[in-house]
Amino acid sequence: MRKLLLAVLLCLCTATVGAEESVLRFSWWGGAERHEATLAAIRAFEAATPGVTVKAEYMGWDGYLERLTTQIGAQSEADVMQVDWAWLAMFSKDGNGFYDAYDLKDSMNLDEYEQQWLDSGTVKGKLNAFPVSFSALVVVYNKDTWQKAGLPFPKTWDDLVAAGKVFKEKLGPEYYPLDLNRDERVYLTHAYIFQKTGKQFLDPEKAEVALSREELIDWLGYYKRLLDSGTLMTPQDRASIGGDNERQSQEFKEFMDGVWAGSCTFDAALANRLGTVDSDTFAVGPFPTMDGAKSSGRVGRPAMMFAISKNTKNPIAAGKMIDFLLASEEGAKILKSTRGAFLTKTGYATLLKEGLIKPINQEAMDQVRATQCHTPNPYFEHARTKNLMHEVFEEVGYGVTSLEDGADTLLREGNRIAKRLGR
Amino acid sequence: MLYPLLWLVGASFKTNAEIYTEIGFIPSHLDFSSYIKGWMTSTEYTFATYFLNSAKIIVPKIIVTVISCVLVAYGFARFDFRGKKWLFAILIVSMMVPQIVLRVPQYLMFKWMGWIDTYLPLIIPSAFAYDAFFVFLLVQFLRGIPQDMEEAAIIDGCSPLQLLWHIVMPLLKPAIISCVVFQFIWTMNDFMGPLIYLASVENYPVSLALRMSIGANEEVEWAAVIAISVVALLPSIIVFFLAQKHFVQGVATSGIKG
Repeated sequence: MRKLLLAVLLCLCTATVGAEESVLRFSWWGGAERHEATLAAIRAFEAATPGVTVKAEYMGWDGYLERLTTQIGAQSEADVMQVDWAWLAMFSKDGNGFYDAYDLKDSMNLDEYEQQWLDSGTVKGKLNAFPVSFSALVVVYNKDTWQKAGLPFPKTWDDLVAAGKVFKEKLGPEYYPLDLNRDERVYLTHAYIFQKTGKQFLDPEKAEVALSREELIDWLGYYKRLLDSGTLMTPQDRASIGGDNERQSQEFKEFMDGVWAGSCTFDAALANRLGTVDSDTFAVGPFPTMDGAKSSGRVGRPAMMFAISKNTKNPIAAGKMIDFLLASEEGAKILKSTRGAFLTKTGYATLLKEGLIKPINQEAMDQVRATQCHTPNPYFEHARTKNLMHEVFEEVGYGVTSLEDGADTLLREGNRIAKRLGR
Repeated sequence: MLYPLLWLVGASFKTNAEIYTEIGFIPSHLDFSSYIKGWMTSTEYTFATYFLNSAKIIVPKIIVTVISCVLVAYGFARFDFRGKKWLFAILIVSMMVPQIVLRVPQYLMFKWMGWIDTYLPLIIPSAFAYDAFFVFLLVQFLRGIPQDMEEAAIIDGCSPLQLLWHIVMPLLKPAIISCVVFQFIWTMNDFMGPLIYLASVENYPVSLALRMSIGANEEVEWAAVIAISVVALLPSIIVFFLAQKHFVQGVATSGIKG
């Protein structure tokens, strides 16, 4: 009996000794490179922080949100989670969905971030998430084709419209100065109307459509001009080449061959966009603008963020890990640019010093950082809002809906969706 | 009909640019490095781990499915009891409930049981004839089998369970094989279940591991993903061909009344 008791005691002792080793769960999505780099960074963090082990829970993009939603619903989410900026509005409407990292200001190095970056992760005064990198729309052009057409890169929205005709006359009917998939059609032309009116489709603060009916007609009208002038391929022509209009430029032979001489994407996805072409033949074009623009027209947001679970048992260690990954020289050297360019002073400086950012990404980033980017409404990229915009743009593109009817639909349905989501 | 499969094999030898542009499936060069790369994965484990994990789910799941579904179907097809029609109706209705509405309540239940990040939530429901479709399939099959032999066995003093084991099971073999093949392929392909219940990478089955290196914005090396998809297809194809003769018979006869 005494032996048994002793054994039990011994077990208890070892159990308590074991408990001092705290385990942090860290979940993220990504591709092969990011997985390898992050696993290496975690090992380095463990080596630098005795007593903390990190359990990596990583996967591809597909299904990440579904799992996160279930886990948060059951309060079994990881201690540190990679989240999308738009999800803050889903999981933390009142700022209490995630741990308030301002509570960690003594143990974390918040000076690493400029105030605007901290603000981007703040909900109702609570620091819910740390932005990892920033992303905004950029336009890239194939230098060779534009040279053949004898045109400089368009500076204004009118230049862009005019380029379509020149391409057709000088190079041939199959040439297009720009190729956009259905998302990018909406986003790029949204920049036009945002510059012209100083207002976004959805109000960034309130759950409603900010543009008036006339302004919506103008938005769709500019899209129609791009189609009519041959700057953009019509959706029916593009769809007839194969696949749907969700397919992105880099998947088309025409883009690889330089017949489609440009594209537009978020700068965080630039490497993917130029993955099937020689990125040296591409340059970041000036972002189109207009006289008397009321805003930069640019909508930008953190490409991804790290959030700490409100149920975590070890917020201090979680904060330390985020600091290590985003704001330390060692972390940045291991992660490289697998999560874009860091927004922290140390992280960014390290990437620059080590030359870990590709020239074209640097070009894009410099342009983005030089302009004032506006925060969109978190529901602007919601699947339902996107569907609505796709549908109207597609109908206008196919010529089955008038601009007025399209604008009416955007106004009516946009308001309905925004109210629903914002509830 | 086989073209997509041929294309898949061909594409595993191509570069991304070729995959997007070329319709023909014959690759320009034979290079097995994408297979090696796919097998090694970008994780801490190789695909051997993930295949083994899949087997750890599939084998017990199939065993408990067959046992539970045969018992339940036998009950429905051969016995009369109060509320039988109602229970059978409920069973059929449960087939029509979309899986997605059950996810969160089930997750909460399994979390309460402490089964998260184990294979139990993926296996145990099947031990209670959770897969109504199989019960339905077996019941229909049983209804098509004449009862003469069973009656003879009862006269010879067979108990209901002996009857099931010695008479009904052999007759039911084609239908059971259909269940096994379906359950194998469905479980192999199931993404949502493992996605939600398994958090640790070391527990991932093949279906999750396949999508590991497909991120949102970054470039995907499709050849490696496709190469490993080809390998992951093999078990399903082998099982299907092994069981083909019985399988087709099982599906084809289960609806016929004798």
